Amino acid sequence: MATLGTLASGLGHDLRNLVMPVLLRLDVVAATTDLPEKARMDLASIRQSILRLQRLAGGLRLLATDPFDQRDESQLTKLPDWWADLQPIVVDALSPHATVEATIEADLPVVAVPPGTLAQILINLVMNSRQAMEHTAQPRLTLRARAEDGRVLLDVDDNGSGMDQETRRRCFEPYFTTRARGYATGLGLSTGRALMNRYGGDLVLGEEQEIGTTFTLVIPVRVQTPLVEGTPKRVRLMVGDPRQLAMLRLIIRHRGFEELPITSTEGAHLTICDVDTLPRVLNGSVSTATNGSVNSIIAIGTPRPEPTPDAIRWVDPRDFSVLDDVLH
Amino acid sequence: MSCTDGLAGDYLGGGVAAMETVPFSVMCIDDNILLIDALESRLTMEPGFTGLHRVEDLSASVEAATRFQPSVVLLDIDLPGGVDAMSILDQLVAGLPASRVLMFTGYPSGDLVRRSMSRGAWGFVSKGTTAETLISAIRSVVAGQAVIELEE
Repeated sequence: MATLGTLASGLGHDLRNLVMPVLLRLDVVAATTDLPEKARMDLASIRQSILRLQRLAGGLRLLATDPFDQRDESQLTKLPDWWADLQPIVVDALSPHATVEATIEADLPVVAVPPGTLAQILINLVMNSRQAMEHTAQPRLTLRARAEDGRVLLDVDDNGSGMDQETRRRCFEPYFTTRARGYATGLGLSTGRALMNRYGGDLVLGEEQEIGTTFTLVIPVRVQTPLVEGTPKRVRLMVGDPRQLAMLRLIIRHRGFEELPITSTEGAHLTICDVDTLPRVLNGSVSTATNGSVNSIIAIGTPRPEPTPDAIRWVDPRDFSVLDDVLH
Repeated sequence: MSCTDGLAGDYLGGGVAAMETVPFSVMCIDDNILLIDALESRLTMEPGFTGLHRVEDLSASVEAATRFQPSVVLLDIDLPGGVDAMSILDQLVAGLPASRVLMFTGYPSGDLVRRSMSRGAWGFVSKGTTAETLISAIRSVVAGQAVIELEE
């Protein structure tokens, strides 16, 4: 499996390197003046195919990451995008006449498990389902995600041969397998559950059902500690350095905060400024309080000799990771 | 029928205000020849574009940049052969402050973004984004804005 992972990683990387040049060239061709309508439609169709290929490359890359060391990966997953990357691979992993139905709504909350981890657990479930559906006339895999109590429950259901009592009892045991000796087993249910537990989630076998088997991934939703009670959390950025600004915008976007335009007269819950703009913030020339409550001020830089109110938190601009922690 | 998927035919030479014709050049420190050629072809559509420089010898990237003084350096973090992109970034930031570095990678992560931006990169683009996003990122950096574009 490690070899396959390495191959998948390389393949995913190579595919991506090919996709971007094609997209660029498509733009160039599409800019040709007096392009016939049919050609324009053909180009649009080619672009859609290439974007799907890009998704596939993304999915392959997810499968190639090390599920035990995801430190370099994003710790959050947007399930609809994640599924878009994986769907072609899941379809390919099943037999050609199998159908895949998925209900993964766009408004699901962001979950706090790396996409690669979820991908590998899912593929393991899919491979088990494939084996179970080997003699099923119309094999069908169904995925359904729903948000509930700070978690997203992802049901993975097949209409295969199901599991006997002993298998149901033992399926999470390490090394337990119903496959023929020598068959590659991939991640395993035991490992899959342990990985989910690591993130505060779980992998659960569903109730016995008449046909097939259902597993549920219990996936914790991203926790966002609000800075101020009540929503929405509005932030005003008054930072001159464009790079600091870009970083702050990224962090704020990930936290789900709302950035107020500088010209807005609405009050902010939090103002982030630098040493140059701090005086304007302090003398009240910029509206910072909302509903009479005291707002928080984060200043980027080194404190000047003049005393400043204690309410200000100072952050060293050389270390944006601290900023991330401060906002959390 | 109009294509709303961002094909170039639907926007006029770059989608940026006509008054923005700041001349700019781009240097690519990347081993993907297909990408570099395609990027050059696409950039010729952008107002102000004066040329693209390729780096033949990746280990001599900084010297090449010093020679050509590009406006933007597109730096591939995933360079082969043990070439250290972060070290190149440090040298460019120190020696060529007028050349703004845009990091480019197929393996984006929050940690990588933080490290790059903290060390002076002007932007960060994931290889999983669209051509439009890459071109827009280059234009933004030329215009003095920092850009972080991940697949979101």
